[in-house]
Amino acid sequence: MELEREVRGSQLIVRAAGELDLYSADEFRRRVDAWLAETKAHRLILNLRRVTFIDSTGLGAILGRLRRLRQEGKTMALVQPAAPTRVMLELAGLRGVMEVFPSEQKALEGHAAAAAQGAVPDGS
Amino acid sequence: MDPELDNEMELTVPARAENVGLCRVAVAAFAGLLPFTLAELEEVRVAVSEAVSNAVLHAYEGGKGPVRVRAARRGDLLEVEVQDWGRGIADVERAMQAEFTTSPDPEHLGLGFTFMAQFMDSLQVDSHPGRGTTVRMAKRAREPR
Repeated sequence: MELEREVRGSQLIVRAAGELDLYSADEFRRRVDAWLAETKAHRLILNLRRVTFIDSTGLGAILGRLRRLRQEGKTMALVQPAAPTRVMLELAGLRGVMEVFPSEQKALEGHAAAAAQGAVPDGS
Repeated sequence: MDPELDNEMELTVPARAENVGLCRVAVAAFAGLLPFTLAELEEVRVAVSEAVSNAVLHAYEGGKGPVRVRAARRGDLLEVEVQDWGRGIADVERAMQAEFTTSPDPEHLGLGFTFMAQFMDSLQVDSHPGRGTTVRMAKRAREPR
């Protein structure tokens, strides 16, 4: 699995590519957690557009990040999960547990809109 | 009834995380010989990944051991079997309940069997403590009408 990151203000975009399964989940966790700590981001935007496979282990790694962020009063959003991923989120009873956006731009704007309304801290 | 065995494959690998993808690829390639849609092949991949990952995570308690993946084609029916010779499951019915897990890891969702059951047409788990576990799943490909 390949991971790349981009920081936009207090938001961290992580782009994942490849397969997210038992083998790659550890690396995913380790690197995303390290980047979150390093950037002190208030919001993680996880772009799954190039994820070619995900199973319950991969889903667990994603949800584990959500749990940790929530414990710190932070948020997370998904960008372009493939149809099977969305099905699996629904089967896991997690539809609506985090926002899903069709693009990174919309995800970034989604946060900006909420911040403008004073709903969440924008980290500035 | 599809008693006639048209094709079969068998792959045995050490129950290690690095081998889960290989098992997915092998069964997906085999399943691709049946008229499944791409979405259905993806479902087969997830089901195989769940079964093999279960063996890697639980069968040998951190030790070593094999996991055997077999697949068979009978007409438009795909049968997949994932077997290990590890510690086995004491209470299969409880293990198959959604979100039940013996793992202390909070990121372990316990949804493997749920996804296998959802994505395959049938799921059967035979397990004996100390002797291992065999997961049998089947999925029928339907010709487009």
